[in-house]
Amino acid sequence: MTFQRTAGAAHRQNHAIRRIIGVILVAAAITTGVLIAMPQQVSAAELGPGYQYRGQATSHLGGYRNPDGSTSYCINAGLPSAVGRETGDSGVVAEVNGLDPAAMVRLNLVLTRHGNTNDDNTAAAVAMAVWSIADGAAYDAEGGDVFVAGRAPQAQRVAIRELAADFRNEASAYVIPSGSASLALTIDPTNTALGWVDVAVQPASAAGTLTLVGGVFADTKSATMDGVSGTAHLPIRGTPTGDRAYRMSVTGQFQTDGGPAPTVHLYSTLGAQSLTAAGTGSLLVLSASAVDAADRLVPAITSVAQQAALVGETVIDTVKATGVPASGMLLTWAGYLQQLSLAAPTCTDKTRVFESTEPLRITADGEYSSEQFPVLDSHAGTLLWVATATVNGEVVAEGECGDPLERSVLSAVVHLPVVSG
Amino acid sequence: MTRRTVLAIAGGSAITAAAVVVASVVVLGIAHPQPHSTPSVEAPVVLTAIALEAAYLPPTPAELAALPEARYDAVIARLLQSPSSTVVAVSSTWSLATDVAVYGAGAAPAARLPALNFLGQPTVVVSIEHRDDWMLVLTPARRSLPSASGGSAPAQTAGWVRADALLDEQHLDEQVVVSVSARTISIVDSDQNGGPAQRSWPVGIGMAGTPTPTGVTGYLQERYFDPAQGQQQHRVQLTSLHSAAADEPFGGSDGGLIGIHYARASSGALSHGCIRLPAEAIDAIDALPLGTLVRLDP
Repeated sequence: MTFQRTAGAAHRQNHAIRRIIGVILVAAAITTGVLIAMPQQVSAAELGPGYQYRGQATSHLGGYRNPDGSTSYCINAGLPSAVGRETGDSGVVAEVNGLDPAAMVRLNLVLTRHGNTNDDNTAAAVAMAVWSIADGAAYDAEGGDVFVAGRAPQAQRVAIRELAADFRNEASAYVIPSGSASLALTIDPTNTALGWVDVAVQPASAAGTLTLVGGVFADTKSATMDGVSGTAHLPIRGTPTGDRAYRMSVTGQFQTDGGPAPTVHLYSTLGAQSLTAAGTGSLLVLSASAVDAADRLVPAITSVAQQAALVGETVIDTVKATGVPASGMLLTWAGYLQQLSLAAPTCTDKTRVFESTEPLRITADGEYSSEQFPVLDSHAGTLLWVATATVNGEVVAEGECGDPLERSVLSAVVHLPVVSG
Repeated sequence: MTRRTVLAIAGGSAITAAAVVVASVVVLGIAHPQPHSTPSVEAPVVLTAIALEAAYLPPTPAELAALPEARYDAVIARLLQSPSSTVVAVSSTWSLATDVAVYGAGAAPAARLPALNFLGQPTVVVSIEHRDDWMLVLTPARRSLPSASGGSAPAQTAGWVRADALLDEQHLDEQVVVSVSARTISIVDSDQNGGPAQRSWPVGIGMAGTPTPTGVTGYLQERYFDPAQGQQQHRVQLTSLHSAAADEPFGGSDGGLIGIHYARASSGALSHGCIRLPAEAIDAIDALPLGTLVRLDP
């Protein structure tokens, strides 16, 4: 395909020069990698929407139909038309004609937003915009929009030129999307097991997933939360795994449409115009993380029961509490009776013989005793104590049924054998 | 009970009797079926009971209830003298679902082992030998008083119980060994009977007139605090052993019990047969499971 003006024979004298330049440009394109991708299929380029000067297919101003139904456009000003020639699909490429990524984005934007059209004027304007972006110097040397628009009917030329200018302006004004994401962890000063994650993500369209380590979201009791976007203030709860103190961390990854990528779909034509169609889109991916600035103390209890008592006496259990939140923690005790068996300790409603009449509220670390349990005749056996600590109704620490230190041997009044001193 | 064939062997006459009963005979001490392993026996008489499986007829509940309880303060003549320490090596502990009959000398059951002991706790039964459907267990009672036996009585008794009456077998990994002459107490691996001690402490033992028995193995029967005996900080470790030299070397009527207990003065020959330990040692013994063997070496 060659450019043809509707007037100005002097320009015809330059055809030979332009052909030479075109060959040089193809060679340059090959060396810069435009054609590095091996063509995957071969097909004859077919005319798409647009105009031909005096009905000549080789002076087509517009798009070409690709085998996959998309519309592509020439990118080599001055080279012969691809019509009737074998065209190979080189796939999506990140560079044509040595364009930098910003130019590739502009090229892809025009092709993506306006390239797939059946409108002749639009296709003609896209062809002009693509040529001017992809091969600006050669395009201008050919005479630019005024010259190329001459292939269209007289009545459409102004409109096509204005449309092409709009497309170029749109591409030039396009700002590649950017954003930010931040996360913050706050520890509830009254209860270090609680707190919040504060989220701030821009743009508002960005959404993603938060993942907690060492905690869960209070509402869902899950360590992950999907669909988080914009700003959020999310209550959390620690899930320590045994250490006396721990730090929670949170990570978040968000994404949104990143607009056209710096790619185009290339259809290469040996010895003639290469064609490009819309490339790929991109994602804007944002990530953030945060770690507790201070330790979260784990409420914990260790308990020691009175070892033995006789019928008629009383027994107690003593809890040493640590990591007690300033907002308070409740201690309760239960006692389970194990009689006449070496079987595994059993703490069930059936074996329970003692419960705290009311929880003991504590607000500081220390040692605390249960109410006294009076030992009756029917209690001979072993009393298994289980102490429980709760905060805001949630069990934060609990003893283990059968803990060797949590056993009180309850005996009937018996004569204890006297040994030989 | 007449269908049960029971053989009592006394001293050297056992050889002839054992030859008659052959394979069904369970013999301890001098009449053991494997002569090469026959231990030296300090006690003058070793009694052995044999119950033939085919004819076994369990006692009725009434018969069982009427049997004397093999308690720490009981004296039951038809119990067996326990084998010497050199025979008792590997043991297991068991619990009982119900009271069980104990067979010793003679055809009839000799005693009853209760499912719950004097504290109302599950009785820990220690077996030292298994023959067919029978298990030889150590018992906490005496079979005679020193005063009625020429001044010397067995410190430990044993008896046979039906094996299927024993539940929840536990193998004991450790033993307690007391060297009366060295005045030490040690914890050793059960698999290395008499092997190197894991831990060892000096102890106080019986005075010359009230000696700690030797050459015998008992077990930790129970443990308890008893302020009346000055033991409110460390539990008394009541063994199944008794004084071999005196009925009640410390007075009272509890059977001349050999205890292992804490004492501030815990070195030398100063007790009435008990083994006195420092705090660290008694805490270590207290951590061992009930039923742990206690071997008293000369």
